[in-house]
Amino acid sequence: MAASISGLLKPWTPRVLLVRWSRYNPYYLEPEVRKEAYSRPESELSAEEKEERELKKLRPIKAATNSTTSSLFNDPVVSKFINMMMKHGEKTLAREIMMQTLENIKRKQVEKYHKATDGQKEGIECNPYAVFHQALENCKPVVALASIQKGGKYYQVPIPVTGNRQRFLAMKWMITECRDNKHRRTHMYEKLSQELLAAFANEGNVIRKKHELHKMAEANRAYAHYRWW
Amino acid sequence: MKHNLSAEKVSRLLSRENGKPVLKPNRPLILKDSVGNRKPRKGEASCVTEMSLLMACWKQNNFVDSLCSNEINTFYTCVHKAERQKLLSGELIENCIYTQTSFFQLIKSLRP
Repeated sequence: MAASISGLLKPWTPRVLLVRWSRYNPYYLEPEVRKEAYSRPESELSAEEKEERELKKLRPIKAATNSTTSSLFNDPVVSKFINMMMKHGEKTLAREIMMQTLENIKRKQVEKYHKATDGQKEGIECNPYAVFHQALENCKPVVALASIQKGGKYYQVPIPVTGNRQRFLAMKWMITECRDNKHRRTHMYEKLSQELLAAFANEGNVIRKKHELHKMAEANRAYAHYRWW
Repeated sequence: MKHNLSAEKVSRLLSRENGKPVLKPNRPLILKDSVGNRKPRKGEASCVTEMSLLMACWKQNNFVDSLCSNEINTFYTCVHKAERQKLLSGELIENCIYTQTSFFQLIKSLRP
């Protein structure tokens, strides 16, 4: 797949390596952080995976960021949420808040578990990571509105939203809601745990915001043909 | 027009001997064998039927997502298929130049 750009991307390693900057030469490849990818024997790999491995032997690899680890507890969704909560680069504070939130969720769920009758006990989810993931899933919008110009006027057109955009919107709504619309004397972890547990049960302000977006999209469904992709 | 001028004229326009060069080309001065698109053709909206089914389901069930899970799944499959078709249709592949890494990334994104 040689093309004109590859003429410029010669195997060039600078004398001073760009480790902290985010702008790498596109010649550099992404690092593989997961342990399982390296413990697979040669026989299990398909032809293209073998080709990729051969390629990785010859190309320079980007440095992994500080927040990625190959441990069992590395969760990319939780890491992204921590980064979005972080202000002024204070990662330790953001991480502390997240850990306190998860602990708080666990405490509340365990309290509910012990108070529940035997029939209800199985329905209560005590794993805070499961609660967090399910709450975010419940907050993700399916369709969003986009401002599209047609005939001089701008219309709000419903468009499908997938993947990263959904995740971003869910996390953004969660964080802004906890920062703005709660009582000012409560701690962030307390506000977050309340909102996450409400989202887990499909209640609360973030779920309401998602439903309102869906309602607006439904109201504007006549303009769906203004999309061209 | 450049292929009508001789090689000496082109090299004179590019040379720095008489002050600044007249031409400063950012691409090689070679003619392509096709004309560029002046106006890319506008497509039509994909997955409109699935979206309308989903919205009808929402209207019935008062926007509760758990009751509309089938419609939501069909909508997502349609959207993914449409995205993949857009990539594979060659529209992008004709216009963009791919390097080896981005080729592998494209293949990875197309893997089901």
